[in-house]
Amino acid sequence: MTLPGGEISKRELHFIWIVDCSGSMRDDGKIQALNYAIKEAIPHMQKESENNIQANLLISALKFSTGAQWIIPPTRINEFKWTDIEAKGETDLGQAFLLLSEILHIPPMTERGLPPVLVLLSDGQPTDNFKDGLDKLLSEPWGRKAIRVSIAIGEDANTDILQRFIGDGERQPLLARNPESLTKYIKWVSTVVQSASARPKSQQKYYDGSISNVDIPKPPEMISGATDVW
Amino acid sequence: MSTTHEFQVGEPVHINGLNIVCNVEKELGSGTQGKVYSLISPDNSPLVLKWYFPSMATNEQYDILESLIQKESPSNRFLWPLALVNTPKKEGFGYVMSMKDSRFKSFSLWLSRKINPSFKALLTACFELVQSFHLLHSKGLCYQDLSLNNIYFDPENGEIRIGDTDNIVINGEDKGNVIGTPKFMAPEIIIGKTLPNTQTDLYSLAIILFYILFLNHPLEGKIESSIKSLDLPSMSKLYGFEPLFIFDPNNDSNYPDPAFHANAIIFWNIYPDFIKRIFVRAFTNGIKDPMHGRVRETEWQITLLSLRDSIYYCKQCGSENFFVPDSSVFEKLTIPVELGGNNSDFKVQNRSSNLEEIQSNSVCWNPQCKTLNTHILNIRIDDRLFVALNHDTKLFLHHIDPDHKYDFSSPVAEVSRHPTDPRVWGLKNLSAYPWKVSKVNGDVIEVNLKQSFSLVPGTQIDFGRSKGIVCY
Ligand SMILES: [Zn+2]
Repeated sequence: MTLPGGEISKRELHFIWIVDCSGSMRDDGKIQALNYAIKEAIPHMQKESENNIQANLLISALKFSTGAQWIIPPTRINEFKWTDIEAKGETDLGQAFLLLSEILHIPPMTERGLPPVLVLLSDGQPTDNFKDGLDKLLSEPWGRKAIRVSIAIGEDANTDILQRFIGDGERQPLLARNPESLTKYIKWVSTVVQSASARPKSQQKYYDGSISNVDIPKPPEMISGATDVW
Repeated sequence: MSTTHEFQVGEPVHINGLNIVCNVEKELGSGTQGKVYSLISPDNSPLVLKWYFPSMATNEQYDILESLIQKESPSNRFLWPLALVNTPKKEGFGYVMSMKDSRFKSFSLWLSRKINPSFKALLTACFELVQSFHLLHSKGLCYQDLSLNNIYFDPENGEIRIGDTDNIVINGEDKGNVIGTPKFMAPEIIIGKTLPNTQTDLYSLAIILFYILFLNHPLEGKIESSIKSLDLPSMSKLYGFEPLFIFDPNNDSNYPDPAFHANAIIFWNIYPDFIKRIFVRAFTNGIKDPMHGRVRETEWQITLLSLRDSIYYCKQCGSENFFVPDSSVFEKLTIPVELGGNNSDFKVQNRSSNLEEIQSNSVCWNPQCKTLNTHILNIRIDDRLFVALNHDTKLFLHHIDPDHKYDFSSPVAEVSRHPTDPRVWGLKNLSAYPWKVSKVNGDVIEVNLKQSFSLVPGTQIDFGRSKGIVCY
């Protein structure tokens, strides 16, 4: 006999990949490494969300190069498939922020959600006016409340801009010097950071207290070998 | 490239404390404190290695583990640290513990309704949780980080396992890295008044019990559903600064929102009043007065077992329902007032305790059935407790020997069926002690091991340490 009632009611959690596929991502196999890393992360993400009593995880992705486009609409984690993207064109980060800001309000966001997770992956220097886009993004309440994480792919990335996306005085961009660390960081954001918003985790006694919206655990501690820099 | 605090598949792990060398089988997961690996051990005993991230591998954590390993586990329900692991090749340290069997599932699978346990299994799990934490606390220890993330149960029989035992410390020592898990932390921790202690453990335990039995957080009602984005500031308010029970009898402003909290309403209407009353106390006085207002584990134990003993199967559809004897009987037995029993201070919202209301419990909750189950065979023991007698009911020393409360080690009686006349039900003696059974006609017979007597209402049984009467 099945007991009465139904599944515990969950909140919507939007997890959004914002992916740089400008021409420079073609160098040193960076775009291939990124495609590989996200595909690697999917099963871990699924496993993490299985134990989730609070969130219905919806994943989407937008890419920017010359202009910006949504490539994957909000999709449930069990149905999520990553299609490899190719690299060509400019680095219109501002366009990506503008596109993002269009959805970070209600509707299309739900009346009953969790702070969204925005993950920015970039290897370079914006070629458009990223500042207006960022201002627009942060003027949306859900943009401000979002957990914003950025990963710099390779040493050439403009970490200053990636830092401004996260917000001043909060966490720092993660610097992925090589494909292994990119894979690790992507796995970390897609599991630990996802669950920081979605699934309550143990809170540390001595965390730095600088994160206001969601308590995010520390990034993976890694020691990168100096030889395999891109 | 490998980092110095991670293990590769196949890598040997020297566990000096156990005098064995294991090999890493695979990585099981990564948490906020470290990584967990399954091990291949010489005698194939299932072992797990947890290795801390360097920032978590503190001297304090090392001392905690050392003292836990010396203390030994309060019971086999705890996945207790067995030995510390150090190796010059790796940064930090780790420890090994037993791996839980695959039959133990996360409670999140129940909350997501991916598994189908019975009320009996759920109540057994709740009882075992309370019993385990009672054992832990009575040793002067405090768990500190109790949440649904670190407990597991067997959906078939309710047996539990408790993981993440590496934060257990001596109560009041303020050691360890954690302060708790959001939604399970006591309000006084969230507002920064205190660090985890046994009183805050009691609060987290009550949250867990409510989650398991109502599939809803006890503070998530209309106030929660009015929050558009549940971020940290709004969570601090909801669970810390302004906590309000969804069934607070004196304030309905956080009553469940039927659109999002239907489970809370459905289950509140199914359980008998005595269990609701104790939850009301846990989340009214238990919030207001952390030192003296919280429901103690012994109170939970009595209440949860009474509820489990009251389960009967609907004669029409077989659903588990809860039997409540008529109020005159009920008030005399069950839970004493000081243990959260009948007490006008803890009224249950939207429910008076008049006889009609109590009888409504005998209508099957199954919306497709709604059969009225008027007569439930049950046995009342010493005006102390009652047990519904179903085809699969067993009695234990807990029921018949007041000196062996909570002893469920082996059954002393079970409901049986007459070998030739299936309409006749009996109670079979599984103990070595003969029972004196007084039949309704006044005859007294002796019932020995493996013998049964017919369950005729009015029959009285002298179990030796207690007396029972069959009721209908
Ligand atoms: Zn029924």
